Amino acid sequence: MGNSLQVLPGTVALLALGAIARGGPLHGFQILRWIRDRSDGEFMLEEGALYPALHRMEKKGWLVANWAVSDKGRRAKFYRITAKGQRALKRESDGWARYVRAVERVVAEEG
Amino acid sequence: MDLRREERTSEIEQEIRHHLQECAEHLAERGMDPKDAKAEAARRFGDVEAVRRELDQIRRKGRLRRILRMAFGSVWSDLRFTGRSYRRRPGFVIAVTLTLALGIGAATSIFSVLDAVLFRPLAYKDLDRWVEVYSGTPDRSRLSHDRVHFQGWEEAGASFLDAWVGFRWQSLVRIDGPQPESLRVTGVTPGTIGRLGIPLLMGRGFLPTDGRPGGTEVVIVTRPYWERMGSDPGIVGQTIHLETGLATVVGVLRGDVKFPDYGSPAELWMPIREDFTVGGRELRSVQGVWARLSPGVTIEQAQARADWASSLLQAETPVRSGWSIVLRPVGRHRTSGALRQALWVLAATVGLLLLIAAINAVNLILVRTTTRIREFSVRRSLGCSRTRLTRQLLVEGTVLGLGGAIGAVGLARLGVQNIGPILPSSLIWSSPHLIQVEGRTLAFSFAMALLVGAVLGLVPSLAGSRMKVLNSDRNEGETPRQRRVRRVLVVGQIAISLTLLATGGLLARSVTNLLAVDSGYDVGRVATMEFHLPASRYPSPPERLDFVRRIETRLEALPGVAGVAISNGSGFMASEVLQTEGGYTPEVQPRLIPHTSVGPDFIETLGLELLVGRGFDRTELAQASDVAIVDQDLANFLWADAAPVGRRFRAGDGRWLEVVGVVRELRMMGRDQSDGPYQILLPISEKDPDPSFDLKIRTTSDPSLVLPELRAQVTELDPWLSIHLRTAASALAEWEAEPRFLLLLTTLLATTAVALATVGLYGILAYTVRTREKELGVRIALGADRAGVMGLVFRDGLTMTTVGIAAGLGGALLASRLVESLLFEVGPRDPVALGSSVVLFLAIASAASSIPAFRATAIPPASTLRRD
Repeated sequence: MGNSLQVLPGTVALLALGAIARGGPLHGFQILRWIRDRSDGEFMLEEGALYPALHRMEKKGWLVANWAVSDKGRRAKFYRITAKGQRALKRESDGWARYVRAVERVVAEEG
Repeated sequence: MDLRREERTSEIEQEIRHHLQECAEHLAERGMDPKDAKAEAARRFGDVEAVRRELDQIRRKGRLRRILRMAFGSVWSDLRFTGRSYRRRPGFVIAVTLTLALGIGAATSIFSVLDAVLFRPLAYKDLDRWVEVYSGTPDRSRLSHDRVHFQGWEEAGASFLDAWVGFRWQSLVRIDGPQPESLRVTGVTPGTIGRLGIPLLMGRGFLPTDGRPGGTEVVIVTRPYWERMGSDPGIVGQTIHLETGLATVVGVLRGDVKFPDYGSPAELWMPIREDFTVGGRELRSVQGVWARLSPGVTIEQAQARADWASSLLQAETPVRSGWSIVLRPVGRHRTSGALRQALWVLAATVGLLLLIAAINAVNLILVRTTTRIREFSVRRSLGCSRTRLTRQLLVEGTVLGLGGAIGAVGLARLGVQNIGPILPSSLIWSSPHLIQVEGRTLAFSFAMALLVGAVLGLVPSLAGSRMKVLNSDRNEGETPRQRRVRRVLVVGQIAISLTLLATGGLLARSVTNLLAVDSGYDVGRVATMEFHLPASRYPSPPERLDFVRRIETRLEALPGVAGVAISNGSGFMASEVLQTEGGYTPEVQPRLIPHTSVGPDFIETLGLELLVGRGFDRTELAQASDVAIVDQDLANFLWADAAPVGRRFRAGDGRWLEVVGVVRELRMMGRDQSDGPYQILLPISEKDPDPSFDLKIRTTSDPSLVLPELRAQVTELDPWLSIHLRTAASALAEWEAEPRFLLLLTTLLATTAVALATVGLYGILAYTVRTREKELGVRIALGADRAGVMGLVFRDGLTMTTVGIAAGLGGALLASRLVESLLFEVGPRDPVALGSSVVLFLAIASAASSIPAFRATAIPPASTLRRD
């Protein structure tokens, strides 16, 4: 995985929110796997950084969490997206798309 | 605080640990060596310590908002959960609700009395400008106001007081119903209703023309009486027939209006006319006079002017020396000091009762919490937060509290309704509002319910806060700390109820002493008949006397009647200075001196014991001579050991009265003689007898048996006359209503308290036996004898009882200071009252302890061993 993309700070939250929105209730490690699978292993992130992002979103009310037993029989903290979270996801991903387009325009002109 | 931190940390810890486990497992599944997989997982995670710190910070910052959301987020689902869990345990719910209903109900009943008498503000227009006008001498602060002064002041005060109102309480008989009905009438000066802003449901208030002498008689009906008459919306304009003539209804009052300190709730209001009559009956005085300060005038300025005016009036029509006018803000004076003190003592008592009830409920809930530890632990393990559990408990407590309040309001309604008729008249008299369960009472009740509910919810959650998340399997009994808490609560209950019991004992002794006092006459063989002869039908003294003599003759002819005596114009000489002809004026003077004018045979009919001298002779009675019969106390007071017969004394500037006889004792106005220790009998005045008569009828057996026949005789003679007929015993009891009322209430409260405390004691012992079943079973299996096991439980109960009693005795000694002024010939530390309440309580507590003690001996040793 040496050539994986380094995830920009601030996008972890967006990635996680997207993962939870599509994947349903997930615990932390499942979120990471979801991101890795969907991105074909392109993203590499320091896994520990996921948790502060999750907890912040929980505090903002974008996510709710509850403890339940996982399919492997372990007690785990599962995160679910709220309606507020859905709205935030829409807003953030629109913002991301604009960001990407803007970057592309700049880079294209340079090139 | 530490606990919450611990919890927070452990959640973070668990989440991180879970991640590392999952990751390592994932790597191992891909074929990595388990050891390497663990290290790789940690590497991928990054700085565990840094993440942990960051998470901790995030969670700490969000706590308040999270708690709020948790606290109010889904109360509805908590309610549903509560409903489900309570449906499974109806016994528990009923026990707690009943306990609370008793406690809150008692508190609510007393609150409704206290609120009406002391707290609820008066609702008059310009309340801050109205002052009560008192007049009096330094030793007696208050007198009623006669016509001369009332009308004199109106002129004298014109410059600083812009409006006046006066009240007088009256009784008139309505005679157009199926039978004569005695109505209570509030006489008011015209203009009172408008000036005070008293609201009317319909019709109008009294106009100045209503006060002119000779106009048509008008009445305003109070709401309760209007409703009793059938709530006729067209009542205005109709006439009713009173004993004094016809009267036209001009209005209906909207609310239940009653003036503070001026009488019972009335059925009718009528104008006090300029000639000082109400409904054709002449007034000797008005009872209350209020005046409104002119705008900009302070009460101090008004008082200064009043001092000047009263000195002028004094010069014109001299009254007693030192007489003056005193102005006080309306509503300042609400009850006598003694009554207010009694009310506060009651309030404190009921507060204690509520406390006992709450303690009992808390104990019941604690027991339930102990058995619910498994439930709570499982829910905690499943991720239910502590806030969430606390909220659940709060909701459960509040539901119980509200259930209790609903029961309480029912009980309070019942209580106030039943207490109403036995309330001492002084209380009703002084209250500015009707005593009833109304809006403020309900608000109080529900506030109590919420308060108690919060306590019920918080206590178990505090007790449960030591519960760890995953220790449900081991700990199903209570912790030593919980046991201690419950024990302290039960001891507290016992202490409080003993305090009440001992106070009740003191009051009971006091009333027993009071009843044992010799009233001086044959209470059990005398009936008393009071009536007022209306001037409209009995205008002249001969007509009044003739009517009374005819009644006397008829009654005497009845079988079962041994004799009839007439008395007339009973009353008190107030603020009169007694002195003897020898020039002796005792320094300490009685406040009031009861006196009665009596006809022939009064001494024989009542069964008075004549010590020296004789009764009044025919001439003295015919001429109303200046003679008197006094009781022994008064004779001793005036002449010490000298022979009183033939000596003369006088009251104030009155006539000199020659003592012709001395009776041993006479206490017609209450055996405690709180109104005045001396009694004077005078010969009845045949020239000008007072229109109010009081016939004493001596019977050969129980006087209550002949009451109907007595009434029938009077009705035959005058069907329109309203008479007040009762046995002498109940007439006497009315004078003693206050101590009897207090005794009744205290007995009720103490009984409730003792019952609750006994249940509490029984409950904790029964519960202890159940949780110690295993231990006790082992003891029995190992050969402990049953008496020993029984003693173990019994001693437990007795220890709590003894500690509680000791504390309760301390409380009782404190409480006795509060009731000291209400006690009659009993010391506040009366050993009999205190001792007997201790013995009584010990007996009850022993009975309560013996049942669980017996049950403990019946534990089969084998079965308890098998349970594990």
